[in-house]
Amino acid sequence: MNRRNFFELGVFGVLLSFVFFWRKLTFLNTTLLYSRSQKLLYNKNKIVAFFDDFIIVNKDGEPKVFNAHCTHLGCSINKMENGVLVCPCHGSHFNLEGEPIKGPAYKSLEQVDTELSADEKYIQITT
Amino acid sequence: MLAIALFSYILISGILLAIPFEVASPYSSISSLLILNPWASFIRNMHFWSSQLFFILSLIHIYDHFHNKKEIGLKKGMAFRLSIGVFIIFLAMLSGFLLKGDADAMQARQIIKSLSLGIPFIGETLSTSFLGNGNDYQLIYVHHIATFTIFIAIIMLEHGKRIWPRSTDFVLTFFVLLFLSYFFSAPLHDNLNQSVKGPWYFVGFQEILHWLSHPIWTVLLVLILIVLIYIVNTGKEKLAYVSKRSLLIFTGFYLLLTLFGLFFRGENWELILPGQTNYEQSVLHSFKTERVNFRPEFSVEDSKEAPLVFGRKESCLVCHNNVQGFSNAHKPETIGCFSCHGGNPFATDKVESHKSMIRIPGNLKDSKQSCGTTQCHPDISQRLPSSLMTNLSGMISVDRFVFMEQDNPDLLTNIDQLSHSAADEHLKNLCVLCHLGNPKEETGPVNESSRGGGCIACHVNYDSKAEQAWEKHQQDVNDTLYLNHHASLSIQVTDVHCFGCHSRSGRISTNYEGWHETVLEPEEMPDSSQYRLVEGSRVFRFIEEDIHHKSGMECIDCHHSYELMGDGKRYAHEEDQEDVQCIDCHFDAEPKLVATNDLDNESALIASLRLGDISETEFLKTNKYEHALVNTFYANDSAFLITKNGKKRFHLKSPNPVCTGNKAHKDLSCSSCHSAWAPSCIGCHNSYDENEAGYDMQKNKEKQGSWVEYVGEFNAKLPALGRRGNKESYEIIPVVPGMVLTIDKASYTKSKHDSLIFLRLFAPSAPHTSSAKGRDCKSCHNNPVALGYGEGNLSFDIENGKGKWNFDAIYALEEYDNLPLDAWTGFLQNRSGIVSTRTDVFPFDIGEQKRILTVGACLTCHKENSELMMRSLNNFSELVKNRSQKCILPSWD
Ligand code: FES
Repeated sequence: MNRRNFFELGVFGVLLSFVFFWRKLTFLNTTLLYSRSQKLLYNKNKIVAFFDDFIIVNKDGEPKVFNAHCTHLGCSINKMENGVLVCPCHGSHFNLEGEPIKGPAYKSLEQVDTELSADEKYIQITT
Repeated sequence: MLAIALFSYILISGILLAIPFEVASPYSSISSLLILNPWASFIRNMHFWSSQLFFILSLIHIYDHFHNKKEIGLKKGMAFRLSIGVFIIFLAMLSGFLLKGDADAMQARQIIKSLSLGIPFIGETLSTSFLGNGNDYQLIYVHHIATFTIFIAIIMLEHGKRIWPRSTDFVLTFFVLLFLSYFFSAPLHDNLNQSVKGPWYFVGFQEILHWLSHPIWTVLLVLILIVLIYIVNTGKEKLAYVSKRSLLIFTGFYLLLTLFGLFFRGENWELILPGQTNYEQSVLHSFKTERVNFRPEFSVEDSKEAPLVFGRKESCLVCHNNVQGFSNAHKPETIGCFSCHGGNPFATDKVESHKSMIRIPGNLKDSKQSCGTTQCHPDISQRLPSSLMTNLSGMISVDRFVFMEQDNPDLLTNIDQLSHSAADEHLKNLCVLCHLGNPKEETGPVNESSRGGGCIACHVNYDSKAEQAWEKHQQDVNDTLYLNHHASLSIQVTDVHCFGCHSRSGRISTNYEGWHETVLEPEEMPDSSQYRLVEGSRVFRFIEEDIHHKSGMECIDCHHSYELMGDGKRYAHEEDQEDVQCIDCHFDAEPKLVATNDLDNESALIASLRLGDISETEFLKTNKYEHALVNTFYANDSAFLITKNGKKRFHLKSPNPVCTGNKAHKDLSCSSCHSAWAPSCIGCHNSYDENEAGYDMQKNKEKQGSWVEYVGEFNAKLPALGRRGNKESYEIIPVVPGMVLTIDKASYTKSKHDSLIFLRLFAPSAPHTSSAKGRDCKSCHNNPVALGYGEGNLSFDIENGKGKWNFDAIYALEEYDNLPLDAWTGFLQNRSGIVSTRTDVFPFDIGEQKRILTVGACLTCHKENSELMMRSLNNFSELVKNRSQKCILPSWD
């Protein structure tokens, strides 16, 4: 190995180390921020309530909380048309159980774990 | 060379734009700069146009490479960097798009995130590295201004071997940009419109994504494209040729998709064609590109003071900054002007701001863009078409049935489906002005002549200042005080709102207030408080007002939002849609209750707006469809009603035991006894007159030729009674002559086959003339009108110890069916065939008539309050069996 090759290898090594730092930074960042808990205002009288990231569906007095992001490509679903949740981006439809009834989405909306406050005014969400 | 010039403008304008741009709140900062600072908005446009042109030139440049590959001949390394370069330019553009922070950008951000997360192994890293973790824009901003820019600069330097643009290019480009940036503004979504689209170069991609349930394939597609570009630049001849062809085919296909996505995709991803009603709203709104106005019609100070609404500045609020009269929920500080009126919220001159503005919002044709937007009342605007007040299904169906155009009056139809048939023309000429979809075209308070108007038909109110200001404006168009006194939109619906439509046909509004329409001409009207002129031409006489009206109750004190605005289900007739019944408030058993916590949201909202704190309240609910009566409550074993507007409180009473505590009248509806009177109209004739100046009520246009109604008689009297239902399960209800008329159908159709139609149809009635005291026994049992025979002398004659009922009609027998004109059925006769405007409403048959008249015979001697008659309510047949010798029952032979 001559001097020139050695340094070329060195450059490659340095670049690789940055890739290593990059991975470390993003992963750590991800784990730090991804677990969040949120409190949503719960209105018992409302069948469907839209929030930025969640949809509360309260059909039979049993609130279910879905991730509002469409399972197709994650657009925020913020609209109900004739009893059906409609994604504005590519028109997927979901019923109030979160199940897809018209594609392109084929997976159900993700149901998230929730806890209803004792006074039934809030829903605690942990993601 | 041009690209280098453009790139320098991207850099210069980008650096300048960084001054007013706030990465912490991109949307509000952009909307603010559009309004506050035309120069900033000009620079933004320059940034936008220079980057768009740069992108297009880069694509053309690459295409050039394909064509002149031999002469150009790239080294592998550079070809690789160039291929990546295209992708980076795309990312730079995309990040710029995201930095708008508007509805389009937010959804695009989600899509990019999901796409990158879908890439195996490195997805999460990529997504986090490009978009960051939170919802802020910091990282995207850094990439936009640094990472991508530096990369593009390096590639350009390497590729073009030049830093500085040629001065001619630089100057030439400047003028092109000047032109574009002045005349066409960069887009910003208003965050209200429901159509969401990516940037134009992304729209084709959005179409592709919509076909793919597994969108990750598109990542592969992008990779393939990069590889193809690379091969075209470096590959062997054959391979390069195939790659080139594939790229060209893809580009053509992509262009088509882009055009399709841009021009034929509307709200909710639905296909939409030019000319469709909401095409402009759904599609063209994305092409709003006004010119920069360097002399805004307001000062910077004024615009600074305008509040932020839904995270954006609205220029409307800068000029219209002191508008009063709103209800709390609709205050401009809360919802701005744009939410209802549309227009252009970011424009800074009057004309541009008001372009495609909705002057009178709330009309059904644009209710989805005003009252019914997602943020406001979307569910109501979706429900409204189901209401009979919107679709008029019952009215249309019955009319077609009467004209013998359909066999069944219960078919569901819609005002939009009127044809040119005789019945439909009749409806257009005489009836269909009253429906919610009839647009309100003129401003001004609702009055007795108002018809339609969508949401505002019921919800608009002018306070005294607003009304005065509006009147001033009517007298002098230059008087603009009215702009400061807005009408309020609220749930304060008054009887005046209902009156315009409901004072016609069944005349429920006027009946309720006690007024009966006469056939008098205005000049014949006696000068007396007992008479009233409506709409300047209709003369009404006072008879007796409804007990509820007398006590201060208005229409909406009984009727709730799901009855009036529809509950989403279709009904054939009004009595099917109507939910509230007398027994809901005047119950004699256990009340039906619903607690606050179990209310639906709409009822809860209305209840709290009307009553304040409603926690721990129990409301009455209806027996029929179980909707809450939000102005009632139940406490300490008592039920109360509070009037919605007047806030008067009533203790609700149970019905008298004489109504509910006996077997004899258990099948009678409350209104069959408690209706004091009902309007009764007979003998009108309908024919079509080609020379009559007519009106098409559906299109709101004058026309030549019209159906004309020649009125017969118009009386007010105790209603007749009839049976709704079959013999096993029925209810006795009040009925009125619904259609006792003749129709000269041939006058319209000109067909020899159409003979004169004579009809004797009665209709179920809800007279709205309730009195606390029910009608007396004789008013049914000894009354020929109640029994359906019409006016005349009904007498029980005893001869030789034999009793016999006899009837002498006042009206002569009609040639068509040998019955008096005002009769529903013949004396002690059955009627068959079509007898009413419903399929389940009939006159009494002979058996029923005999039973009623038998009691009538008793009442000729026995007082109705007598102990014997009271006893007869529960065991009539036993009393008859043990009757004295003196009692003579009717004989029927
Ligand atoms: S993101 Fe919802 S349909 Fe594509």
